[in-house]
Amino acid sequence: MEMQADSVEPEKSDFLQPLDSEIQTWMSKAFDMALEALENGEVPVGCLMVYNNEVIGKGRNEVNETKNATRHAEMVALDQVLDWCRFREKDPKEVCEQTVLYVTVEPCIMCAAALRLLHIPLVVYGCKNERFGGCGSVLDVSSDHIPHTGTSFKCIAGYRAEEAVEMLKTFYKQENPNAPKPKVRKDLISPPEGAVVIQVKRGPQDEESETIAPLS
Amino acid sequence: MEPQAKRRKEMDKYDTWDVLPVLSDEQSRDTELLPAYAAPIIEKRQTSRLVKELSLIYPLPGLQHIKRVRACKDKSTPHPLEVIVCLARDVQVIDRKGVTLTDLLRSQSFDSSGLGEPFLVKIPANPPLTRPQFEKASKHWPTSFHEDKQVTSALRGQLFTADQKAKMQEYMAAAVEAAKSGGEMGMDAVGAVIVDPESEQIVAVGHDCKRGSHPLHHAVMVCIDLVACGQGGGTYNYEKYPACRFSSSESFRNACYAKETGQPYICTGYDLYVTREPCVMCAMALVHSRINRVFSGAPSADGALGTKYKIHCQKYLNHNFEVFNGVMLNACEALFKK
Repeated sequence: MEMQADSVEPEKSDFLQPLDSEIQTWMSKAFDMALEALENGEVPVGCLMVYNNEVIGKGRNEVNETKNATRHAEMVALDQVLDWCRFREKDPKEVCEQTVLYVTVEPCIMCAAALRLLHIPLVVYGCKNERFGGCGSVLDVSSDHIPHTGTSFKCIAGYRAEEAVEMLKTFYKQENPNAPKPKVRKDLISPPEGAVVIQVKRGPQDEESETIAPLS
Repeated sequence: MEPQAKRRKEMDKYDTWDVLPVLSDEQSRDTELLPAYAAPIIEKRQTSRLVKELSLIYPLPGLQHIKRVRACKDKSTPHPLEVIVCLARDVQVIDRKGVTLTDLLRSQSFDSSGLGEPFLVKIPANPPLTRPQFEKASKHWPTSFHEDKQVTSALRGQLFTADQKAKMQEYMAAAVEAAKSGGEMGMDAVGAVIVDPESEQIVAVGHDCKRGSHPLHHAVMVCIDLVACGQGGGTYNYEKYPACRFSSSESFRNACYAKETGQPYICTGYDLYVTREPCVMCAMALVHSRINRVFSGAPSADGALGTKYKIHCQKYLNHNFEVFNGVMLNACEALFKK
């Protein structure tokens, strides 16, 4: 068992450390999706799921058009990944275990749990999600010890974070005609102005999260 | 004779389960205590001056619930009142037992006439939120208490009347039925029902479908999408699963949503009945969907409404809701023992 794990290790760690150029390519496509969401009156979040250098799922928020508040970009993209697997008769678990999610905003608590349930190992994201974030901002579903809820995943955060925040700000300046009156919390601290802090999370066995230089 | 016997049997069924609120950590925690110095007020007429001056020197931030002065209930004490001087952590003293007023009040401007020598007490660190917490806290030092009547009565198991419990049983029974239908189709036996409590109508019924077409189709996610279907939205098709259904009759909608916008908004105002405590994905999906209350049957290992997380009362989320568990506990537990 030990030996087997060792022989798999180098490949896996390469895979878990995508090159800056790869991140740039995929994230710029994710930003295009977010812009599309903004233009359609949806929360500007866009994402891509990349397997073997191929986009096998993409999504943007579509809550308003489906009247289903769970239709976040990640959930939409995961559906496409599953369709892709079904069409090619591939095992979703095997594919997901080799798939990276590129998303403009930190996944919310629900999406982080969904990513765990499908065994996605790595998420690259733009800005923090101070209101709903499930990868450290509100809760840390990505690395918490919840053994019956799939597998933990690693995050690379902070790519074009300011830009992602700007898009969210633009959206929240507009009124959402469907939303009920928001409940205002006095003790809620406003998100830091696009703070670019890059944290690398290594799952539950590694308690420390280290701060590395921002990507440029 | 027969109907009566039947009724008694029905009543017995409700008595076998209790509805228990899942309180926040703040509501359910033990009373934490802080060491503080108090001193007797020997001259009663000095009380208001002493309190005023003490609270200037030691304002006790974050302890607004503490009543600064307490009456000595024991009539044999030589002084009628006692006052909190400061928290033990506010001052540095070498010998806590032999501490004097001068140790505590180095300020020149303070006139300590009327005040006796200080002694150590323990005071509650947090405002009591429930009656059990209040009763415990008051044993140490008097506190103010803004009682949440609903929580108190819920803790006593008196929140719901027999009629309401009967309704609950009806809805949870529908969830159990759905769970069984799903189970027969090879799914995990988990069922969920969304109810509009105002019209007392079932809006959607769903069961776990994750062993079918989609690994994320937990019963709650299915129900949320079925509600969306009923509102003219929705993403998936559940034709393969006859037990998964929704209500969308016009009369029903008009009856319920003439209120503000005339439009239903996701699960706002609705109750969920689910046979097993939701996972973190489903629990957060319920936050996003603005569910009103959740009635849950059996707990689950990674459950997010009480067991591993308390998503429903998580600070900093934009929507909180009430959760009660234990509804038809035995029937719900039996579902996943099979």
